[in-house]
Amino acid sequence: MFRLLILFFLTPLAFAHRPQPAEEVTEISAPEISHVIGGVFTSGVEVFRLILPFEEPFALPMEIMVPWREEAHRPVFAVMGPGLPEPTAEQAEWLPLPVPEGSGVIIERNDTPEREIYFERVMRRTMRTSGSLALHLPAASTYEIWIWSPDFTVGEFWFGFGVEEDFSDPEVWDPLFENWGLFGW
Amino acid sequence: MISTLSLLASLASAPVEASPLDAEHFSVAVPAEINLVGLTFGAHPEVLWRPFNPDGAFQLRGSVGLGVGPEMVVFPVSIGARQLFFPTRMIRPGLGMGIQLPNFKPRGHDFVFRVDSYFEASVDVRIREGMRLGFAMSPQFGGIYGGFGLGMSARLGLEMELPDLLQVFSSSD
Repeated sequence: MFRLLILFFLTPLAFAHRPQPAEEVTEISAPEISHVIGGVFTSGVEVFRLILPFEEPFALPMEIMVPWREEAHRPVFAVMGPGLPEPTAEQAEWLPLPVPEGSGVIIERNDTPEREIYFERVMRRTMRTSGSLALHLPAASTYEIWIWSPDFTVGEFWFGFGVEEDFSDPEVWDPLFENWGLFGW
Repeated sequence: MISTLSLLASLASAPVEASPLDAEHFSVAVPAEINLVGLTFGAHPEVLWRPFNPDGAFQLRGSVGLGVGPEMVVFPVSIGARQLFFPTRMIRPGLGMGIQLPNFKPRGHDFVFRVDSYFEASVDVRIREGMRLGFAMSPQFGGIYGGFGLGMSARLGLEMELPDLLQVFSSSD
């Protein structure tokens, strides 16, 4: 009933990122549309890989967030793909996986001492965010994002990217209801 | 002619109409409330006004509450209407809608103002004359002001008609 009400009243005027759960490898079918990818580090050694196939060069903001109570939880992310800066030896060593041939890398280390508090109004969650990192992805190519926890901390995370909203397909809400505990309380 | 006179006579002899602001037009409810989207626990007391008939099915609702949760505190303020079905029966289902200001104070964050619409489905049961136990589920949708958002509240609490409530207080003096 609640779901029907949402779809009936609000699909045309929703202002939110498309929710999607993080798997070990998550394919993003429309990376030009904004998404929030939610996941959980249960052991702290996981590496979540997101695959973003862009049909043209693109620019977009990205950020990684954790629940407000997880003060010590600081997952990081790295963007991999053509046209990005070559990784330094120190960066290559720090990354959890080898950088693919021909790819450059940009790393968000999520190391701001006092992280900004963000109130996510759709699901009423209070989060600590890395802050928005604006990126230009200069090639019409597939980019990859790795999310991992360098200090092996455990807990939830949400990775948000993009600006453009599109909820014309009501099925984009399905992951929210199927993973309610991941995006809501 | 005779019927007109008898009508006038009956109007003249009719009792003075009670004011819609008399106590019997009001009820007060004190429900505990859980917000299931953005978890909070608290109370959401409400005043119910039956402007047309003290036993009527149509109620106007004004409500101010407080909820505390692990990630935020909320101070909801609501104004709306509720239509009861079978208002004189022991069990009364109802439907309502209105406007709610959820008034968020997220932890570590500034106050967030938003204007939502709310809907409610309720049922109450008379447990004695003038007192009812009520339950309501209330989905909320942000979008009137302050951006899109969801909400869902569950409320359970006692409702008393105002004259009975005043009698409780006066008898306890």
